[in-house]
Amino acid sequence: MKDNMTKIRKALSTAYRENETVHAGEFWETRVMGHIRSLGAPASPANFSALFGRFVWRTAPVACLMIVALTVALVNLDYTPEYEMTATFMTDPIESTVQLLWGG
Amino acid sequence: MHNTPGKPSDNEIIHRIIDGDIDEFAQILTRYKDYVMGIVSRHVPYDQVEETAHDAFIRAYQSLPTFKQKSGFRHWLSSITVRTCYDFWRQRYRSKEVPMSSLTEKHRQWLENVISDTSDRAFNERGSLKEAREVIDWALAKLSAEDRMVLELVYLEGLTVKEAAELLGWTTANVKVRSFRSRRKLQEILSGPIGEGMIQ
Repeated sequence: MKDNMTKIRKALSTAYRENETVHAGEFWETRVMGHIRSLGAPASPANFSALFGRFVWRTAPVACLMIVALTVALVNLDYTPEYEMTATFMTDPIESTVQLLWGG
Repeated sequence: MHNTPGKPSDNEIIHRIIDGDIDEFAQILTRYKDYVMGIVSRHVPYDQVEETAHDAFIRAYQSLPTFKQKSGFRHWLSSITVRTCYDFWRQRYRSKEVPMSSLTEKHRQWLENVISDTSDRAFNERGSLKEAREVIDWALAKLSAEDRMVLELVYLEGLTVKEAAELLGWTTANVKVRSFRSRRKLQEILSGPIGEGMIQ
């Protein structure tokens, strides 16, 4: 029944509130202050520009590695002939086609 | 907010600490140690109170730069303390260190006395208070850390859902749902030793 639960709640709440409060021991404050001194001054939260700067510097080594890897890949692929052929067709398509057909 | 004539206010002390005068925190410690101990004593076992209060003050110290003066230092500190207690239980439940006691015939008798309304007389006796506390500990040990905290704050301490939500840093809806579920779980737990028909 709901009434019984209300009675139990009342009794448990009373016991809960009357729970004895523990008082700090003799050296407790000294221990806490010792811990706090070991931590140093509390650090202020970093602002946006500081966070952004830290993020950029963290990605810098990865960016450098990617630049080196891409440079090596481009040198090894040797795409220059294909690029020149495309450029010729684009600038003068008719003349290039005639030359190719008649072997001029 | 602590403000006694002739003594620096909490805000003044906090400013000095942030500016690097760490020793000023001793004043905060002296002013609020009993208050924090009082909160912690209600939530964690007797032998863990000093350690948990220690953790709460360390957390408060590290969070001082984020303290906004409009909320009031006392309220801000109580919120940090309650969250430290919650973290204590989370860690305990994770490492399965929650003691699972069992109820004796005396506890069952106490519960039956409460229901039969003869508890007022019996409750004044010191032993009865001890049994009541043991029943609480036994029942709470069967709940999760989240349900435990909500039940303690809303059901046993009598805080409103909004107040409990502010202390725990949760949404009001979350606390409301948890409060309802944890109360039902408690009802089920207590119905075991007394008999289903007596409570449900």
